[in-house]
Amino acid sequence: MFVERTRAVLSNRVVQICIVGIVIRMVVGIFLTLVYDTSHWIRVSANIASEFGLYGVPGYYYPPIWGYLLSSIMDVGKYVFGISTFSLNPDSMILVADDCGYMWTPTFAYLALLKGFLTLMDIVAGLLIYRIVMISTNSEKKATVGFAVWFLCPLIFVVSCVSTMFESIAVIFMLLTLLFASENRYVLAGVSFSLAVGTKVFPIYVMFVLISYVLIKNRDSLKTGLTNLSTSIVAAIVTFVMICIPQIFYGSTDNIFGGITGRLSIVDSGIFMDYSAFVILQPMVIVFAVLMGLLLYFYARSHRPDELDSCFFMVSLLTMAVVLMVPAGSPSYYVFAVPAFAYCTATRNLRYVLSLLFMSVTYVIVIFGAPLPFLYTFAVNTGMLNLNDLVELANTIYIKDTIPLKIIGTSGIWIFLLDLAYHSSLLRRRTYEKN
Amino acid sequence: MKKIDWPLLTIIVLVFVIMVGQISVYWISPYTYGSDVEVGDDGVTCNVYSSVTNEYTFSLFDNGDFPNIEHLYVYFDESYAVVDTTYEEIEKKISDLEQELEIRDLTVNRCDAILLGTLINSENTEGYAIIMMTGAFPDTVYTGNADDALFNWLSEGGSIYWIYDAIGKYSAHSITTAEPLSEVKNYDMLFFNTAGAVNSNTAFGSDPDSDRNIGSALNVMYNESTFGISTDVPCSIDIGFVKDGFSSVSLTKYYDGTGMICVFGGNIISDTHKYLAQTIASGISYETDDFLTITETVDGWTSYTLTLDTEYANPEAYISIGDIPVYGRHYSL
Repeated sequence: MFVERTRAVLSNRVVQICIVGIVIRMVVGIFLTLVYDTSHWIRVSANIASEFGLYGVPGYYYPPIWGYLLSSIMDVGKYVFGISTFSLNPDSMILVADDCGYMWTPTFAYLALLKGFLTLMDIVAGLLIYRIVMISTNSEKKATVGFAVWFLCPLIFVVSCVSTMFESIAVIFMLLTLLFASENRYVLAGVSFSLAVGTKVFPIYVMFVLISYVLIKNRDSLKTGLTNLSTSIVAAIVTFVMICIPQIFYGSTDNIFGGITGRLSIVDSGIFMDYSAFVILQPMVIVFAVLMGLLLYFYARSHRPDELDSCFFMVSLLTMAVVLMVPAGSPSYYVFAVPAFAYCTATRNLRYVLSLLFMSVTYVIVIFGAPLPFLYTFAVNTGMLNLNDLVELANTIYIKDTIPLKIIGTSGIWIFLLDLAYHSSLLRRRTYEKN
Repeated sequence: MKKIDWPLLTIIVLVFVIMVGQISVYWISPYTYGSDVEVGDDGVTCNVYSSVTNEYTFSLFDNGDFPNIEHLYVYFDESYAVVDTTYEEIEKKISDLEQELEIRDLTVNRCDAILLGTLINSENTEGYAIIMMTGAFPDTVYTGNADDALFNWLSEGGSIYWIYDAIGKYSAHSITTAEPLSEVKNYDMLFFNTAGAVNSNTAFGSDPDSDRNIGSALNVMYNESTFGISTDVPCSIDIGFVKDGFSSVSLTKYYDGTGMICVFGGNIISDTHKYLAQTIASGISYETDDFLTITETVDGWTSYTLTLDTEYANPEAYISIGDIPVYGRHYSL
């Protein structure tokens, strides 16, 4: 009985893809870790354990949700798995201290905990993409393709299991927002949207499409549309207040978006050019996001009501790709564009996976611009590599300027969007009418 | 059978995890710690408590004739000049340091230029320490002359913890004066009686210092030796890292008395306050010797006994919990 059931589970394509993705993550994750970000999470965990809160002392610069999750991860690590130490601090690691200070080297136990959690988040996000594709196409095969494109995308597993960044969690909340909105669950949509923005601010660009969708969906009654919209907005505000109650209570609300304001001030000073384009072109990015909202509005008006949800899913996800046509600095931000690729590959044409591969591989190269530091954690934990040799080599093997690569990587999105626009039903219809 | 509402279940689970995290961070912390130390016939025993599994370090050392520092002051005065930084920045760093000292059961009093002058000119020397983070002593205690009150205070046993820029290079005046900062020549001679005692080059130590075992036990991972003190300066322990003969963290005996000058090289970066607090709270000094240390795991209450092979003149102990210390207690035995 058990064997049969196991065999049945293992014969499921999604499970098989999960196993492949997890194995890839385990192999990559054991050897490679970006010490810089992981070091920050260790420091934040120590600040929490010292009862400093998230913003009481330096170390945490994001909205609070990831900090709360880090706290829960730490609780599980300490209480359930009995992990006594999150970092190893051999003197030899002082060689890699930089201007930002010493980097706490994570233990394998802590990495397993953190990367395990982020892998789980990747799976959940993938399953939500699966569900969205299922709703749009009613095809398990296509939904599985959507899941596979997301979960096996090199950028996704490198960001989660090498950089230990948490973009996938914001993607989960963003996808939940779309699902709840499509099911007329406006309170839950508002809650999810708030959580998405409270994790990483990028999903805020979907706001215009969401507004447009709610109004179109209730096109027969503007009053109902506005009521539903208001319901979502109130739910979003209440959720955000609930999340930020401690910061309101302790008067540290200015820290909630400290990472963004800090980055803006650095851009202002002209010393952090990587992020400049995205910041300087921000008005244009917002215009793009608004235009996507309008696109949905007019596109949906000319289509059957039963096509509205599919349009909504596609336009919402594409919005994230559209705003990231401008090089955005950190490669991890491009995780937000991947659901659009996954959705369009699954529902439209498999060839879109090629432009995704082009974009994600280029950005993975950007992440590994200086490859040897990614082995420091492995060297410290196992002693199988000589840290001094690695540090010495690290100073000679690196890509000097990654900005051209970032521009090339972004062109993957351009290719995808142009290809999609050219082959979209709108264009095809016009061509048909002309003929 | 009713189908499971997966999106709803997902958001419920995630919100639950987030709220547990929030409660844990801000409202009901599951992390509590405690410790005490007993001296017995078979050695010195520490009893350590942590509500969760943790690593702790128990250190035992002889502090010679050096008195226990019981009164801590940090200098901050917005009406006096500071070196290449803002008052807001310093205020933030001081606040960070105060919090780090608090988890080590230490309180620090802020003092302005006038109060600092009063302290330095008083009989309060041994057991008193001032923390300087502004890059310059105010002219109420230091003008760059050998007969300044600061040197007399150091002679009599006062202690200084210095971080940021070169110690003694500037004397700060009221910001209303025409020249709020005046540069001092031969400041290295004034403080250390050694020419070239203070590093003037940007440097990051890569080799462990002579007393690195102490820094390592205290988890002081600090290696900027810009403005660090030369390892040639006598009567000092260097617990950080060295580069070109300059240490990143040194605790030096004032050459003309019993006071102590502890210098952290470089600037105040993100974690400096942690290392500074750990150094201050541990109670170590230039007299520290016979340093014994163990690192073990604690979950609930646990004990460990260190046996002393030699007789300590002034035995002191320090218990620290966490790979990044989240708790610290100093004991004079």
